[in-house]
Amino acid sequence: MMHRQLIASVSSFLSNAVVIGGYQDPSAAYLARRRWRALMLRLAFWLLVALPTTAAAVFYGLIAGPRYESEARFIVRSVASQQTTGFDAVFRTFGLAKTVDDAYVIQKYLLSRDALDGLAQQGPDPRTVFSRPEIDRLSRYPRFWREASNESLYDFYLDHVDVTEDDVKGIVRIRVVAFRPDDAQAVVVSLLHLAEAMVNRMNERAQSDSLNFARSEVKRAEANVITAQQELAAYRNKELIVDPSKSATSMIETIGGLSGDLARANAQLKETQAMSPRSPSIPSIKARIAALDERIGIERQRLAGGDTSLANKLGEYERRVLARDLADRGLTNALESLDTARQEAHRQHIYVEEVVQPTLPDESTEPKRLRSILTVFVLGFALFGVCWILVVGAGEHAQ
Amino acid sequence: MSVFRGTDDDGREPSFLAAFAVQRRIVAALMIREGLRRFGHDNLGFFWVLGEPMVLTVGVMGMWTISGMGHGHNLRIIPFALSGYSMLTLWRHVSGSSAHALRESSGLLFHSNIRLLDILIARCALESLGGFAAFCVAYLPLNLLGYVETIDDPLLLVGGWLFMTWFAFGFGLAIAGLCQMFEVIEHFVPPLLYLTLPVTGAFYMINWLPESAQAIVRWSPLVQVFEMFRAGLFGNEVTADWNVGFLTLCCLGITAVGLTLVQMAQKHIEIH
Repeated sequence: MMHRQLIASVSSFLSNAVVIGGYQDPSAAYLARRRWRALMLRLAFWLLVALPTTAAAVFYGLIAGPRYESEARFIVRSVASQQTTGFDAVFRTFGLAKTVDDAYVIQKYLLSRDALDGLAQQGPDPRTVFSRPEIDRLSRYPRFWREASNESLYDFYLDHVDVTEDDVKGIVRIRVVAFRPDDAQAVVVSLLHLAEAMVNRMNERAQSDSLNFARSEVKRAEANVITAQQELAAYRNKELIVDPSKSATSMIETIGGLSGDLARANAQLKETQAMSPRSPSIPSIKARIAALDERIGIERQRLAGGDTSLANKLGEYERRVLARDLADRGLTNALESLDTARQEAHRQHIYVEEVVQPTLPDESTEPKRLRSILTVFVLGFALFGVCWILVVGAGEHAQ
Repeated sequence: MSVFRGTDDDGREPSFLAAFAVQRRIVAALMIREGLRRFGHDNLGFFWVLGEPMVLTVGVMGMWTISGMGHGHNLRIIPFALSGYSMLTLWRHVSGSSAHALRESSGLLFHSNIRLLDILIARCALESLGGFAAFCVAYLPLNLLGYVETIDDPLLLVGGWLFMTWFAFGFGLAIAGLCQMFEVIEHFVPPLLYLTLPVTGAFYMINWLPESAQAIVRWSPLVQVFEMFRAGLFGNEVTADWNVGFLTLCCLGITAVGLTLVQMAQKHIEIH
């Protein structure tokens, strides 16, 4: 029964069995126990309620100087956020939409050491702002129990700067508590600038990511087109031909004309032989037919068959033309996708829109003196209640 | 016999402070008696005042964590369960246990210094204090281990707790009075408390709900009390929605009804 012993020993400590052990008379022991309990409770009351409340009253009533709070609200928007449809709308209700995430990033950034460094660089310097000479020793930076290190500055910064995001509407609120009104405002203004710079960096990154690929695609397609075009021109120069298909057409026309002539000559020969078989024009017609035949044969040879024929050249030529056309089409596609990427990048462009400008406080709102004293009192009293129940419980247990 | 402390035995008006001191001591003694009556001296004994709510809260917390019951919002499940169940336990214990309060303790009325109200106040204070102690005891290790964030605004937290105690006390008064007059009502108390679950904020926060539902639950003082408590615990992490004026009105109203009912019920009490 380990736990029994443990409980018994804790109880006997709290109810002080040592004192009680000395009494033989149970009623005397009971009274001693009651006195002990009363003492413990009085001690707890002083330590938990009276002393802290007095200390809080002295600090907030007499020592603590005025603090001023400046506030700004902004919303991180993207062009896309205005048109929510279907799935996007569903995700939006779960807080997964892109703009909300961006606002979250900005919020985390503003509460980071980076933002603190940025603040120190572009001013106002947080160290100066938080250790103005008029600040009382207990509230100023560095806290009297810490050194003036970067870490303690960061903790102090987190205590005085509050960036919260409304998780439904996505509005981000910056609150800064400083010890001079213009200091508070200057810090808020500076933080807003930092947020904008951060948003711009995020935009640049997103754009260069999506556009760079499309741009390199376009470059590659352009190079392809140029190569194909050069090959085609070189081929033309080599073969001394502009367009083999056109040459072929003209050749076919020539052959057609010659064939017509040949047909006419043949008809004339037949006619002459039938009308006047001894006509002296027959040999000349035959000679013409032979010449035409020979000519047609040569032309056909040039058009097709053999290594130097036009048909051969035409095949080679069309291959190059096809290569150029393909390269052309690739370039068109690449240009189109670059255009789409550009539009997409523009659509994803996020920006910070200030809803409420940084305010310049004209009255100290912090610390909330009465409320703080009341907090200390109420919390102390609640803890005293817990103590009471523990002490009483232990006391009853020891009987 | 009056619910309120009237005159001394010798008919002299006691000074307010003296009467208050007497009342304080009586309530404290009744609290200890109540704790002992319920839990006795065995094993943890009186400490079960803390132990009971803590076991429930920790159990539910563990169950929710294991079953991965998420709620799709930025609060983690452990702090959410801790805040929800501590308060829910308070509500159910304070208002639920009052059903038998008068019958169980009517013997005490034999003592001329003890009034009905003292008994009810003592029971309520014991539950509230025990529940709060349980919350603190559960909160401390969880906070040190990093499962629960540091309390943002203790005033709101304790304020929410006190409002809950007050409201449950008023409700308990009404139930105690009704049960004394009509015993059959006793059997309807557990189901009635069960039916109030949806209008406590134990399982949601107002701004998680759709607009139309928000408009309805915003009128529930129990929901508002939960909001206040969570605003104190989580601070800016949650968007809480409560109104101290409305809560005070509700508590005053239900306490007035409860007191009237208890006053009426006194005729039905037999001192054994």
